[in-house]
Amino acid sequence: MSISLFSENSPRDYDAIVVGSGISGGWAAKELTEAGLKTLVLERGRHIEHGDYPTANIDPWDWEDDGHGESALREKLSAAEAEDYLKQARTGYTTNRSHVHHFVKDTEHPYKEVSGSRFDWMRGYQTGGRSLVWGRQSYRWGDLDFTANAKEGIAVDWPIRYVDIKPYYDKVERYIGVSGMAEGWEALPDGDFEPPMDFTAPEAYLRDQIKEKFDDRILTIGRTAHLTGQAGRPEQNRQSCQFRNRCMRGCPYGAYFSSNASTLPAAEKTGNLTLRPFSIATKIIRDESTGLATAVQVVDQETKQTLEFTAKIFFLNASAIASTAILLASGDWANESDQLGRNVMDHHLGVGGGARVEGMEDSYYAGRRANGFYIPRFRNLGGKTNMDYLRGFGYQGGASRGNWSSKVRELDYGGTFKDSLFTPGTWNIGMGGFGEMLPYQANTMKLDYSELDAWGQPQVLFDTRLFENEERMRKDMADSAAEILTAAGFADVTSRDGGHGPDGNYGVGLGIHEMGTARMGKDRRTSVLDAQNRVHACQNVYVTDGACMTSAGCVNPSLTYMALTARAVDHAVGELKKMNI
Amino acid sequence: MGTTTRRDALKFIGLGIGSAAIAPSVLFQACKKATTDATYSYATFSGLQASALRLIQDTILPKTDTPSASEMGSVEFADAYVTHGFKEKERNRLLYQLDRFAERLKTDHGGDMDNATPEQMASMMDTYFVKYKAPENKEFTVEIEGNKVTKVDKSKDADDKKGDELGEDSEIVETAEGAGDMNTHEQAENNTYNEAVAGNDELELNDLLTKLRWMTMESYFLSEYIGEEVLNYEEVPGRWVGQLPISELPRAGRAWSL
Repeated sequence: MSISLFSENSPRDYDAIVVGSGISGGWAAKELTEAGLKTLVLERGRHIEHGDYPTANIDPWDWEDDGHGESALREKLSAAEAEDYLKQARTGYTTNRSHVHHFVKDTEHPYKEVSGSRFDWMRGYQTGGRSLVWGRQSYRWGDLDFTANAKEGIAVDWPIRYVDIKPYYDKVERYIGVSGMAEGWEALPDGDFEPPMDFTAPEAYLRDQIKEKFDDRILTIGRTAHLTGQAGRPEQNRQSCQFRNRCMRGCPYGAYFSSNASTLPAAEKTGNLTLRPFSIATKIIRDESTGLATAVQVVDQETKQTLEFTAKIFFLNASAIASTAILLASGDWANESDQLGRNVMDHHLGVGGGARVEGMEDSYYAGRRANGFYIPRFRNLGGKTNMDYLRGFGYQGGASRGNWSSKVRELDYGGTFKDSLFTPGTWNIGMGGFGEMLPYQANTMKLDYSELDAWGQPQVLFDTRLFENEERMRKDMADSAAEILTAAGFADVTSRDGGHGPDGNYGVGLGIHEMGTARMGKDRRTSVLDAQNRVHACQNVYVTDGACMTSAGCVNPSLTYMALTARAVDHAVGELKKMNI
Repeated sequence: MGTTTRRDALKFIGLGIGSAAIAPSVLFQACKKATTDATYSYATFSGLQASALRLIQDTILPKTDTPSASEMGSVEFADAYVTHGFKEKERNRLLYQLDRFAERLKTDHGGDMDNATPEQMASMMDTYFVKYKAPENKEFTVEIEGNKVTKVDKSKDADDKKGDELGEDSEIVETAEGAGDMNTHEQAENNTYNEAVAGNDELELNDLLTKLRWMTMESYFLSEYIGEEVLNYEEVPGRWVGQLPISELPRAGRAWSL
């Protein structure tokens, strides 16, 4: 069943409008339509129907020349093509040819960085947004996270606790399917999991070693939004993972969760969904007398025509940066707290360790697992785990055997060397930290009207950096990785911090977990959103993407955005029934 | 974006007869054809440069019971790669280096690109690649005709970067998919042509052989024949087995191609 796209005959008035079709917008669309609301989803990019993934089955040798030397360059863009993606290329993987069409051209969608600072803004403008290319790692927040600001006197307190969001974590996890194993680890609440993916031999060994040698940390398999049970999700027309590890190209099996494969088709099934691609939302129009929003203004990406769509409820799910940009452009009413566009956060990374594994040479694996192991937060949980910095980090890592590519750096050539390249190489193990970043007033995004984009819209100007708490954590992230790998007895243990800032390996945003620009809080004088994700000053506008986050935690955030969205829709539908909006 | 037509066709065949039964010989011939075709026209390389390249690539990966590099199309691959993937400056540098290689072969060994012996090529590889020691400092100064030139050895940074990507989300394995390309990318970015350095044959030929080595390995191991018929290959694995005894591999002693 294809998604119903907006046509000339479509209405201009709806019960609800959702801005953005990514991981949270898709959930808003599903929940609103299933509650019986006629819903319009505005997507600023082109439409991608589930299954329309042209590179999904391409092996490295299948590329055919189309004027850019594809047959030789394969994943690498030609020098000419790469000019369009200079900022998107900062990750080192987003601009691979096999999925570059799921990311924007920086030349078409420019943004600015204050001199001496850096922000890496990875964007995917298409139906499904970045849910097509996300990392799929899915972890719950616990009260450790929701209470941290209050306990430490940082920023403002979260207006919710785990008990408020738990039922929605349950609902979302069951629906999307998260593969993993329960551990009973206090800092990382368990969920309702699909069967876990196996460890490789050195990973299983490391898990046992950690259990034996540390009493304060564990290693588990990554919790990832892949279907791994026999049945899949027949009611969603999704099959189980085939272990091809080509997720970012789009999954023809719908095995990992995306809006395209899951929530948008569910919304379509209700008959209440209309999706309008090429629709750049520019502002929310608010009635001064009622204090409620009446419409959203849109510029059509293709015709550059300005349009308005009206509704009773608005959900902003355009992304942590874009939702806030829309609010900033909407008027002073959205920023009476002066917090809108501040507290830009991410998870800082680029620090970790690696080692060579001796032995285990009679063990290999089969299939391509798009997952690794996870070592959840073990710092600042009390007692000896307390450090000279606040919060903590988790490690994501994996162990695999090298192949020919791991021998590229050896100084050898000739027949014997060549024959050795066909054999499985030695085992290597590595892990990298995802560190919690504190909310800082000084880390900002603003609208810069000095150079407008092709649609007459201001560019976002970023001023973001890491501070002392992150610096201290990074040192521990490197040292602890080496400590764990050394304790397990691996060989050639190394640890590293690739640095951060304009000349470093990491810039804020590179974790692609940007958040915090319109934080939730109890007090409208110090926060933008209330406990239900509503704008304090405009109670029929909900923001449920990364913008709403009051602190960052250290786990991948998408699961939390989805759960908060489902929760906010419940509230919005209730308000509508009570005739409050 | 390339098309999926041929892939789909192969997949279709695979359903019925098993592509392994018919693919190797046909594909192998197709690959061989280009290198033996005298009329093949290169986009970037001159005839002499292509000859130098073939000689070097077949020294790195010679014919054994598996085909040589050039038999798998390494020269054509390098031509397309250098034409489209390199910026002009970098491309010019490589061409200059190939010419210097031919010249050095002549002056060091009295050899010729058309009929160099394996011994002469081995000596060139040993001198400029295996035994070559780059200065250890990250930043070092080369004095050329009275001009001091500072060059930065970024190879350590490249190592660091690769390591970081290992730990990143579940892109861990996704990255491995394009591991060869990543090396390619890093190397290309790290070798900025500095006109003033040109003239130092040790530096230039080491740089050339380092670049050609990964380019050769990549073209070889990401070729269809090696990838599908020589290494272990499963287009759609359909399962993940974390610990498989190596004895249970479909092709004994071989690594997975993907």
